[in-house]
Amino acid sequence: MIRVWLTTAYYELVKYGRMKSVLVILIGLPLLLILLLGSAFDTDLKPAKVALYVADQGELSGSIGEFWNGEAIKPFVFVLKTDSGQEVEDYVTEGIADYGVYVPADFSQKVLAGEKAVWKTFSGRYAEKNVAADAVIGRYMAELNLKFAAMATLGTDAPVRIGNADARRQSLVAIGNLGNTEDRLFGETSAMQYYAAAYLIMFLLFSGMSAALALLGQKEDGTLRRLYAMPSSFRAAVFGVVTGAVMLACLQSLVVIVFTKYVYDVEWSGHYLAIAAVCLLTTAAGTGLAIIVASVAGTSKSTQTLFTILVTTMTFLSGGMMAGIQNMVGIASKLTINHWANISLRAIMSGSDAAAAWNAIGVLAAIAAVLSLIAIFRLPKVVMRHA
Amino acid sequence: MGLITFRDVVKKYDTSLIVNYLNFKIEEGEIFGLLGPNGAGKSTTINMLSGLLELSGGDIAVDGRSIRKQPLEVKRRIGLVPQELAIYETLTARENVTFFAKLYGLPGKLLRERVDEALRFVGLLDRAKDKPSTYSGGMKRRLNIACAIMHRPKLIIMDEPTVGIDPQSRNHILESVRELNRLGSTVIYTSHYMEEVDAICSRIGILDQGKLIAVGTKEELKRQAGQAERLVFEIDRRDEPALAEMEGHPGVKRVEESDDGRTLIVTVKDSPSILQDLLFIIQKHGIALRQLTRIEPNLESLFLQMTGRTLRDE
Repeated sequence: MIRVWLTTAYYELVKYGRMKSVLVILIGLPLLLILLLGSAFDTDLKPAKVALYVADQGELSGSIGEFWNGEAIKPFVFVLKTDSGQEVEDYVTEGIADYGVYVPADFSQKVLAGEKAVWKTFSGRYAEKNVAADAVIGRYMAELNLKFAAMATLGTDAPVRIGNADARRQSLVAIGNLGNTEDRLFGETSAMQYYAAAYLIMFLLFSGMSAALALLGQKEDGTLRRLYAMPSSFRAAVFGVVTGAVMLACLQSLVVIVFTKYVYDVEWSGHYLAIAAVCLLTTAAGTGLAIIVASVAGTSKSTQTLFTILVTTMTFLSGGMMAGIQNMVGIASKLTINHWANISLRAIMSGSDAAAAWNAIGVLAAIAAVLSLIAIFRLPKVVMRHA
Repeated sequence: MGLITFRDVVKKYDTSLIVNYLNFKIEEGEIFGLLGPNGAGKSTTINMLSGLLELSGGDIAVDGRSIRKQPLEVKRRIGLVPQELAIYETLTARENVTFFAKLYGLPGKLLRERVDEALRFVGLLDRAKDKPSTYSGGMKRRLNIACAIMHRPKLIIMDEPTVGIDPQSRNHILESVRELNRLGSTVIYTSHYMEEVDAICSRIGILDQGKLIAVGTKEELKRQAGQAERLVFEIDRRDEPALAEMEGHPGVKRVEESDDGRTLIVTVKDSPSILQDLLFIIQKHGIALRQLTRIEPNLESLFLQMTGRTLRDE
């Protein structure tokens, strides 16, 4: 029985490996969609490379140095020190740096004399990097103005500190959607994490459909009939066909997780066993649902149509296609497999609430168990011609 | 006791009786042709024999094993060549045969030998690494056979194995059936092509509306149906006395003539000297004989006579 099961599962996997269209749809497509949606909504900017030359050796040079070396600006700018103003300009022109800053030699002198004093800046080719660097410099200038306004008002002995003393409490740069709602949309995960989880779940459900389609296809082309005529366990062979699809789903999960981790920098956290459990339960639920649909639909074409509609609807309701929709549809979202799988994965990824993660995994396991049980009862309808 | 024994075999769907109390035997070493129009119960009978369908009543024994009590033992003795091309298009020919051989439980070296043997037998060994998607219809049919014979079954069931293929592949398959039989397998062969059954089967069973209406060798069936040989004489002129003399001959059943009287179709009884006698009558009346054709009774006409339908009737 085990020999039949393993043999069938192995050959199923070989067959999937030779169906290029299946591989493209189940593995290539999720990676593409995660990239497109994740990038479109991601608010995490990589630091802008800023070419810097400080010619000023005056009284403010210490605070300027402290500012550019400060921890607070490191998430937003990466400083490339140069030896001249010309070199700053060259770095930006040649694309070595995204932005350039030249602090003139008379900067301190002019500031202390109350004259107009500016840093010479060079914008690069990327607008978002220019905005980030401008914001960082603007912050320093605002604080400098504040200090000298205070000194003018309170006298030169007033205890006013210049620099980034309070920057630890407040971000120097704020970039994002209007109304700054992305935190609410994606919860404690980034957009990339959110969509990586949502699309992994959606495509795992589609992998579940592969099992039902394989069974129906083999019934239609007569190979299942041949398997039934063998002096071996037909149940083991059918289970082998299903296992092949589950193995494909496991492979799909592995590829999506590894690829998104190393290519898109998606942080999946280190709880890979928990992630594997979620993927397996989602696949089991998807396979169960697909077999139930197949037992009603009868043919592979109608099963494919019905199941695709079902999975797409569930993904939409759970916010997998448009973050936030799940809050609008309320209970309908909670009735989907995707909802519980998404919550589980996002909780694992953010590492914030282990109880919430296990609670969602528990619900997902219950859904998978119920669907699998119903599928076992409905399976004869799918595999037996005369059932 | 035959290799296969059908005893009061019945199959019902709801209230419809699809197979109606079949009782017959197939002896070891036979090529048994199962004939019947669509809906006669042929496929249902084969499905019950190969364990694909449960019997509503009765039993089938293969090599002394009951399909009801020992289905796996029966299946082990059977190689089923289904009407559909039950092969995997994405696996190579060798992988297809190997997969099914593994499910039959053939181990390591023996498995490799049997897979090669089966592929060689159907003439596909040199294309073993190719996928069926690159094959012609006939080659796919041959692979379909290879997947059923690699375990050297005692009984091979071939359900319409030559549907939709070219004459060359058909001849190859028919020759394969004879060869499998020579090598010791009993074959059950169903086909819509009467001439195939006529050419290769040693015994024939005719099913109609779930009942076995006739079973026997071709000669026995022809005798059962009272079929006779016909002689067609093309002559130069009509001659009334010659016609009367032919009709009066005790070995002649019936004489039909064409409108111009130059063609005579004489249905004869089983008599060894009849042809000689008829030629004597023609000569005696001074009639010139231009052509003589002998028409033997065939299964098609036999089937028509027994069922009132042709094999391809829907």
